[in-house]
Amino acid sequence: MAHTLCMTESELIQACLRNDRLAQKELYERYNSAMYTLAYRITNDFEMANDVLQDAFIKVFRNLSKFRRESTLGAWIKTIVVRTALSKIKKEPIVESLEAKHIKESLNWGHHLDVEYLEKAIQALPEGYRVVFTLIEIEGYAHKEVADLLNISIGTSKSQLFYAKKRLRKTIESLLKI
Amino acid sequence: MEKEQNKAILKKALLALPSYHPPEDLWHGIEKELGKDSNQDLSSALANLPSYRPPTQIWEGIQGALEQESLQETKTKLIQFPIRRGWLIAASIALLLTASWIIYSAINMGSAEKVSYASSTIEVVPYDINFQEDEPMIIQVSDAFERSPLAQSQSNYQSLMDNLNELNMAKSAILEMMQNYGEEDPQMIKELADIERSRTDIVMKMARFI
Repeated sequence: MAHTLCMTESELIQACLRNDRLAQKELYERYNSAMYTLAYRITNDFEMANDVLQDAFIKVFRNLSKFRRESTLGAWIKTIVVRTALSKIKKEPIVESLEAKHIKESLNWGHHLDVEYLEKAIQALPEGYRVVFTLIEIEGYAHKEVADLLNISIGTSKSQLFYAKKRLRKTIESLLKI
Repeated sequence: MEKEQNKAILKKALLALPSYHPPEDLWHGIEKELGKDSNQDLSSALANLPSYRPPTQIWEGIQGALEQESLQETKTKLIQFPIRRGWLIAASIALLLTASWIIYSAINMGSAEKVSYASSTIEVVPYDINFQEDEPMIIQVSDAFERSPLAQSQSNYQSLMDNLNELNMAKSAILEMMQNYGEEDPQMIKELADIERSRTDIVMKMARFI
């Protein structure tokens, strides 16, 4: 048997499908940090992120035979993590708000953003804003995908993102003043 | 539409955000859950263990032995039967009378009754046992047993592993001999069936500690 470290992703998937525990561990090792960070950014809670990661990887291994390779394995796992995380958090209903096209305000990020402050500001965002901001700006999801995941309209997704950014900017400014 | 100035600055900062690592023991929770699945697989595999049909020669041997025993029993009974002269004389007379009546009937009936005989050849269908059928399941169980911390803590861990290895080697040797000298030797088939039974016993013991 080839060493799991040397396996290509395809070989690793095949080995995982044979319930090869070393291969399953290797797959977990390859993705755990990225997925844990994502789970934490959605839940804003390390304990909950632990649960999300565990549940999500169990789903990954139990459903790996259904992975059709229509996306990358990472994207497929990410979807499972996002869905698991969304089901864990107490979802506050996202209020349909003014659509982004009607918003006339502008945002200026200035010439430098302190990463530490940005992280703190993200953590301080209300749940709905934080989820939309994380999925779109950090994870690269499209508004349509986020709208489907959160069961909201595309317009609401856009406006939530705008308000999230506005709140971020404001929080960072107040942190800088301290 | 909102305007966003210096968005590149935000993008740059987002890329520099820290990443987090799950606790070391998180994998154990996943492994434990997956272990439940494989235990279910194992249980269903054990429930589906094949049953073996003994070679026909074994029954022939049993039948032969039983017939011999029965014959010996009859002889013993005959010898032990209490012989009484009066009964012996009465039985002899009854036998003579019966024989006379049969001879008389045969002469008078002539050829009215015919006895016919028929014979047919019964084709012996060779039995077909696949001694390799349950090999993947045995390998799965022994591998899981070898890795299981619970199994490793058992006092008979090494002896079970050694016994299974010895039986595996014996099975390979017999299969090789059967390949070279023909696969229908009843003695070899019997030995192979014995080995398979012993291997199944060991695998069942191993499965308890997985």
